Amino acid sequence: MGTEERKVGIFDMLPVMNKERATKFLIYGLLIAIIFGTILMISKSIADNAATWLSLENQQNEMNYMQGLYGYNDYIVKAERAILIRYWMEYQVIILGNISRIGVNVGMFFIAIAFLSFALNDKFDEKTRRIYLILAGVILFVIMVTTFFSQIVVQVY
Amino acid sequence: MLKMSRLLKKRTAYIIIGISIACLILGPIIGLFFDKMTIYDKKEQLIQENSNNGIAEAFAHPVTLSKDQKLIVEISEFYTNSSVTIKIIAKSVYDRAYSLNGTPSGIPSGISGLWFVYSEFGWGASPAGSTDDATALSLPNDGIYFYIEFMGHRVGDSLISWPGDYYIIVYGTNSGPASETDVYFDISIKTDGPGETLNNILIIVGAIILVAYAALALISILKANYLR
Repeated sequence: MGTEERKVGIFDMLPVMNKERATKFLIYGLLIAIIFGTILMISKSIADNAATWLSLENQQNEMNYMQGLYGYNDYIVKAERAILIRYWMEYQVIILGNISRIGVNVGMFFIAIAFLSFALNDKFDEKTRRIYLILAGVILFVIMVTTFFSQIVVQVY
Repeated sequence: MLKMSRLLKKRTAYIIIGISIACLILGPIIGLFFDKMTIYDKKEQLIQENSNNGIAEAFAHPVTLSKDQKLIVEISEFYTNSSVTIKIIAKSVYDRAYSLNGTPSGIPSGISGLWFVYSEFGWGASPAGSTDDATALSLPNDGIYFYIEFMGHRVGDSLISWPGDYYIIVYGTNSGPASETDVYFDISIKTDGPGETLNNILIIVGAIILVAYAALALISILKANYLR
């Protein structure tokens, strides 16, 4: 009987991976999560400071007019455009925020798979594998909660 | 070892990132440079006193305005015995007056100018409060320097775009001896240029290149190392 060659897909490799591959998954997952998380925080910061930026822009616009760099109608056009940019600064968080959320979830998925692989790796001792399993579970829980709800809030009283 | 695609090679990365950064930097610079296009700029522009009696002798500069395009005229008059009046009129009105030069209908002072607004800049003055409108301005009677904005029509001090062909006309007199007929003034004529459009296009192109490159680089790393 001849042997059958079967194409190995990504799901066949998961979560039974060797230690090196799982570590790579962990590092890249972290990297993706950090990059998209940073994008999200920058985006939120831009949106939060839109009003301050508008005040600054308005003052600059008024001072440019006072110096005679441009006339009243240019002043109005620039003021209207500044308002439009302010709205975009507030709105972009919706677009970037959702893209970042997908990115962070993908990154966390990679991390969860890596921990799951560690947990299934019999080269680690039983206790360590249990810790890895718990970590994978916690990360999967976070992914699920952040997928169905907007965020996790921890309040300390 | 981490596998890398051709896209991530140092040289390719430098070229792509360099182009995007160049677009992002050049956008505002080019935008500023082409914000206003000077179409006429002259110090000591000379006309004769008889410009007061016939539009053919007056200073006249044609301007074509497209939709939402603004005309900016800076005029000043600091010369001895010279006094000038500026008006902006439709090309049809100018052509008619020109054809009737020498008759009462060809006298510039008898032609009604279109509404424009002018700003009297000053520190602490609100932009709305320091802007006024007029159909003609006489220098130095009304003032010796004016910054005029024109788009065809206006409501209050806000301009309304009436795209079309116009003429800026300046005529004047010399109050000196009868032998002195020279009338001088300084004038600068500008229109809105494509600066803002160029600025927006370059910034958008730069940002798209940067984001697309980052996304493709990330995908290529994942593809080369894991998603096989």
